[in-house]
Amino acid sequence: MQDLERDLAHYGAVLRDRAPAVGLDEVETRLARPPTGHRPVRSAVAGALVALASIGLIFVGGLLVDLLGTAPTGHRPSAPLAGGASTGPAVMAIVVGSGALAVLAGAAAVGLKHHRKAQKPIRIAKTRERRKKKMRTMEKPVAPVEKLERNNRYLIIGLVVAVLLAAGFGAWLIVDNTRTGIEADIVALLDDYGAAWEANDGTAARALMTEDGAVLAGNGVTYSGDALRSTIDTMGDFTVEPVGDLVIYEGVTGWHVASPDERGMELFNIVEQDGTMLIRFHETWRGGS
Amino acid sequence: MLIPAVLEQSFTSFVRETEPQLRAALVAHFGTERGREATAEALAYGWEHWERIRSMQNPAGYLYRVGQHTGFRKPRRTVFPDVPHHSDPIVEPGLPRAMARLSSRQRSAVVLVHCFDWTPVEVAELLNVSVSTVRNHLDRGMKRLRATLGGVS
Repeated sequence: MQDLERDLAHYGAVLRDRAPAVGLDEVETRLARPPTGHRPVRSAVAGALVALASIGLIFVGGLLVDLLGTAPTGHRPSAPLAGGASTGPAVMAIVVGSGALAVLAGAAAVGLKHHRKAQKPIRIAKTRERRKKKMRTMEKPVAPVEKLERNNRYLIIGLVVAVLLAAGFGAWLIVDNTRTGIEADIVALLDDYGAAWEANDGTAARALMTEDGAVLAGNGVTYSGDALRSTIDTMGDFTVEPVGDLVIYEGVTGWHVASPDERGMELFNIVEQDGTMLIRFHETWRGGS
Repeated sequence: MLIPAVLEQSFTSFVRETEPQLRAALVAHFGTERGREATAEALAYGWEHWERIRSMQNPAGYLYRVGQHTGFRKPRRTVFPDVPHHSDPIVEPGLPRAMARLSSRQRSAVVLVHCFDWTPVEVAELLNVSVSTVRNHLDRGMKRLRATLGGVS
């Protein structure tokens, strides 16, 4: 069993040995040391962290938008058929605005930090001059004013990066809005198509389809052309109602749209002809039918 | 206004008197290497602001605070040197690591009192706390060290 206090007393000798006295020459060395404001590696790391944080914010924003069910991203479930697409731009604007503000704040913080560090030797120099001290270290030239200008470069670089990121945000927003527009077109087309079926208006339904448009019914029969029109006209009480969440996939032959729910699914192939969205193929499948 | 030579002389004598105390306190707080750096930084700050600091009641305590902030600006682990192999007399090898795990105030109290032979009153003056507070830190620090080191009494 050892004595802790005795151990500590002996260890004190080790500490004294490992931490020798700090002489005046060391103090002078520190006084004459160049300012610490110019640190390109640290600035680059800080800038990279700010950029990474911004990118992370974009991803989080995208996830948030997806969770709210407003982003049609091609291969993932997107908006419900009714009224889902209206909140997208508002949420996006908040996310983009927050991201841009975070980037600007980060860049400004990095720049201000370096600005303050760069000013330190100037402040010291003024104090020294005012007091007219004659210590040897005082006679050494202080950092020139150009140092401040050089450090300001990081503020400018930070702002340029922020502007570029903001431009990227804007481009992303535009692209995303385009996608939202396509989804809105598809939703409107399917609404009209469903209404035509419900009204037993074969002509209207055919007008929303391509010339070779066809419908594969649940009984395994494919209808197209006049046969399809007459079938819809005489169908009686029948509706086409994509009640589940739409899944939209942009493929080489237009958009593939599925509306799955617990009963089955409606499948559509939609193409764009002369600027108009038209249904090329429609298949309805219900479990047990 | 004092002439610079007088200022320099008073600062030099201050360093001569106070440096060992300041270094011990900052080594107790940060470990040997970082504590020594903090001491030099604090003294450099002291010279830059000597005309103001020299008129304070407790300039060493003030520079201790300066050293603490200087040390925190360069965050690194508190490291105490290992006990030398074949040390005579034998010292518990786990002591440096156990000391590093104490809170900074407990460590300051333990190291200053038991390693550097300060009285609790001197520690209290430097840390700007009451003597009973120092004794509390000391007692808790020693209990924690004993608990960490196990077999040491």
